[in-house]
Amino acid sequence: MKLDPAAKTALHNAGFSRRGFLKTSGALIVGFSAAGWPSRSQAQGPLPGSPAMNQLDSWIAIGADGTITAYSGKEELGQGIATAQQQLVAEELSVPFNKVNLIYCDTALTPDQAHTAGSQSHPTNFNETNLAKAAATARETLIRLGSERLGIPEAQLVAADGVVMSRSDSSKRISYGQLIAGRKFNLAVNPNAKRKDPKDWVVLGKPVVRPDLSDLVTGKFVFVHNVRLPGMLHGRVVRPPTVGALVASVDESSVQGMPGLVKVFVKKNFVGVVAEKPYQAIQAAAKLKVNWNPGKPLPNFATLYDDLRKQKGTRDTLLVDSKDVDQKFSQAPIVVKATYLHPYQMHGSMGSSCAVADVQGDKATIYSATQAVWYQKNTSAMILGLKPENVRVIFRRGSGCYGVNGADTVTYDAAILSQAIGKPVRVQLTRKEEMAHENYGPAYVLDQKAALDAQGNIIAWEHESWSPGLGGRPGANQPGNIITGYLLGYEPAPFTPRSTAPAPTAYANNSNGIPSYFAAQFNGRNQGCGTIESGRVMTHALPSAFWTGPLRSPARLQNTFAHESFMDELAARAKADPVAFRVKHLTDKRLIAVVNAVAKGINWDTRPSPKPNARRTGVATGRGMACVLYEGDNGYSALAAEVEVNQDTGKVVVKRLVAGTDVGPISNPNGLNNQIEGGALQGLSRALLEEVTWDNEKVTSFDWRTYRTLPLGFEVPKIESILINRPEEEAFGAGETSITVVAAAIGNAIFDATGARLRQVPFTPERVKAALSTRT
Amino acid sequence: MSRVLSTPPLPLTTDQGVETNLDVARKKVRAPQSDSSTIRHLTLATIPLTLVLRGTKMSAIRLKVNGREHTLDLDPTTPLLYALSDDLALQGPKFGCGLGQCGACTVIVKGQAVRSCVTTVKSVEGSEITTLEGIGTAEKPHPLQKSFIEEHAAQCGFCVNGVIMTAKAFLDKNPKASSEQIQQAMSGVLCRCYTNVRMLRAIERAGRELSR
Repeated sequence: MKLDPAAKTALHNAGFSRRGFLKTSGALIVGFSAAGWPSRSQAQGPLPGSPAMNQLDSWIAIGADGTITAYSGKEELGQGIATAQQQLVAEELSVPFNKVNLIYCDTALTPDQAHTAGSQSHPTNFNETNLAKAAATARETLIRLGSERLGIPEAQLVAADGVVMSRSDSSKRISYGQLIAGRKFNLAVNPNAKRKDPKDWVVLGKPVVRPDLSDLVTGKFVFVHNVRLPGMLHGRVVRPPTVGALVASVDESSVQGMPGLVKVFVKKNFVGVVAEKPYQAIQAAAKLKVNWNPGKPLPNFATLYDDLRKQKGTRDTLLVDSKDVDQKFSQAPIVVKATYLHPYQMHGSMGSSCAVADVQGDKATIYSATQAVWYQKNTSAMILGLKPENVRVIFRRGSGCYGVNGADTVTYDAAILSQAIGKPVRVQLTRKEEMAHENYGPAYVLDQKAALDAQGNIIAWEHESWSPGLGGRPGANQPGNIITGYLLGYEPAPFTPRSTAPAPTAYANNSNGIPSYFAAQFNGRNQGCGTIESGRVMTHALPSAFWTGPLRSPARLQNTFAHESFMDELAARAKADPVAFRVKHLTDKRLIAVVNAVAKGINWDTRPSPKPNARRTGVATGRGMACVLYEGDNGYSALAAEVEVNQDTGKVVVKRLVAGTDVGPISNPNGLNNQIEGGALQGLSRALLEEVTWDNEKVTSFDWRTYRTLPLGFEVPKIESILINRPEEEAFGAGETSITVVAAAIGNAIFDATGARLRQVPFTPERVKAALSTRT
Repeated sequence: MSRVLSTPPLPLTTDQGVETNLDVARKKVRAPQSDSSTIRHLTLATIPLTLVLRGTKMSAIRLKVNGREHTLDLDPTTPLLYALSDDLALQGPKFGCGLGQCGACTVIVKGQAVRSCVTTVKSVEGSEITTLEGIGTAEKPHPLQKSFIEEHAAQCGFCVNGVIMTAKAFLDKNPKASSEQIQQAMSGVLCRCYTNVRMLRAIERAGRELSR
């Protein structure tokens, strides 16, 4: 059964594994997020006006000079996908890398491929009938046209270096430019077009240097922050000072006569100013007197997790239920329980978000770092009251967003202010506006319970978790999911309680809610990665006081922290080596392979944890590991860590990380390593330091002092990255693999070193000391 | 037998089909990822027109940036970052936090790494200011710029200005710095994509080249 790209996206967003779905027959289910939150875009085909996805001309154009232009809906955020896509097209069309001009994410030019997110860019454009197949179709078409023009059978022709020529007589040739000369193909993309054999790759698979590096290091690169339009003015916003506060009144006279001030603009609860120079706008926004009606009191920070667990009216989802778990627990000789806690964390982009909008009458041109230009076009049109076809959104890179930062919200800010004065307006958020109002990665409470038999095998495992949510990505039509849309009067996506979770009918591990060690039998077939047949996974979604949205490895990271820490606790209980214990309960060969590769790479000391005869004061050292198949079908990752724990101060220093990664065929090993290393260190910062805090009315993490994060010069661990290249497999995403397993690997290493178990992230020195003090 | 799901191919020797808006738009754009460069020149050309005193807060501020002199009409308390990035349309120094905490705005003044978001234009009037653009070009890169490319030391690239300028100021004074010293010197700079390993390696590499 073949699935068209929209269907695959719909399934993915609904939490269904592509592998699982394709192998079972079943009705096409479209559009529902299993967790009840639209934190990923709802299933949505390409929006009206998008170049047709199934037409070759939407993707590839060849000029008379032979230059190849490729159009993509997946954008470069810093993750290396532009380079990989350019390599892909160059490879499939057999031209040098620099002969391909890749244009991405401009609604006037490129197809609607929804968001660049979710580690889906490689699967979407490399596996499915999109960019890769388009380039392959173009190559086959060139051969066919060359055959007609040269009068030589196709089988005797080869496309190489921009030319179609006879294999036996290279003087019989015709260039791509001569064959196509800027005309349209007027062909459909052929889903059966033959991809180049990875054995023959000369561009793909190579560590091609990213073409933007030179501009980045010389200050020539144009970020959205650098976009300038003639006559451009500067806008700044005034956000609620406390959570949920709404405008009572605005005293425009408080800024009257300020130098360069052009306008004060208020619409419902949106407040902004426009001035000639940025500093003038900043001063006016700071000086403007706004009276606010306070919002509801915030939940108690100190009792957050207990309160989450107790909340009524949750939306419940069962991911798996073998229906015999309670029975197994009642019969088991050993039952182990543990609860894990993970805080709200923020995306914390390096540069606060920025956009430039030019709204003239009924038309708008917007430069935005949005992850979805077509959806931004639609929602900007909504808030401006314009027709979507008259709104153009052009992606310009922002600062790394790690999921969803202020890029969409500041785009609305710029658009609405530009419309208010009929001139181009650039808006950049302050550090506090970026941090206090972003859509956080939400907190999690994760209960784990498992039964062991007398031989130390896991015979049943139950997971129950709670996590709040509010809003998320604005998607194609929900601007109220983010702060500016909300202030302008749009509502966030509604929360719908559901107290009886429907019985799960298909394997859907998009959230990694199902531990890797589950067999997860559906329709008579095991679809999980492991051996455990008795299992239950129940998740509870509930309303959040703070905006939430996908933060790099959303839910997957928190679930994996719980599962991989708990697996380690079970191994300790069974007095088994953590690596051997995992392998014993795994069936997925590729997952076993990354685990073994990493164990070998770190020279894993095979024995149970904790380390015997360890000292109980001073500095202790230990090793730990964790593994996951991201989303159940999108990237194999394992990580081993060596740590030093100062048992007197509680300080943890990670000395060494060995990461193992299997994402199928590697497009660019250098780019892949950059993501693996970056993800590992970002995971380290989140595991050791990061936590959003608040008092009874406002968020208190609003700059780099109040939201702690690892700086450049911290004691960086030695990182080794082992890449397993599988050219014959489908391409997986990689940007969220290593980050998913860091917290558990470190927690497990701390346990190995000290016998103290950390169950709450971040592992601050205070928490480490508290755990040390409860050791038996 | 596989079915090719394409419409029958039309010969490409004849022009066919109606030109759509998409075709028109695509024809207009040659290199859209870098089209702001022409706009930047336009803005620089209009600067002389803004040298009009407005209100009592503005005054003529002389800034020497990358070897060129500029006289700008500014509130003297304006943070240097805005004069550089807006009035002079320089793209190197960036607004990351506006609080001097992250380093994205770093420039070099009198050999020191200075956080331009918390430094007034008045306080650096007359001093030599160097931005990222001023230390080297693609044709003649500074060793740091060269090593960052060789080590692939960037992901989103937003922090690169702060990292390179802080490193340059440090290496200029400490050409034989050890890895530990480099690490210390970079301890107040932020990179949220966490390209730390490659950046520290690139700085060490540049250090070796500079101290030869």
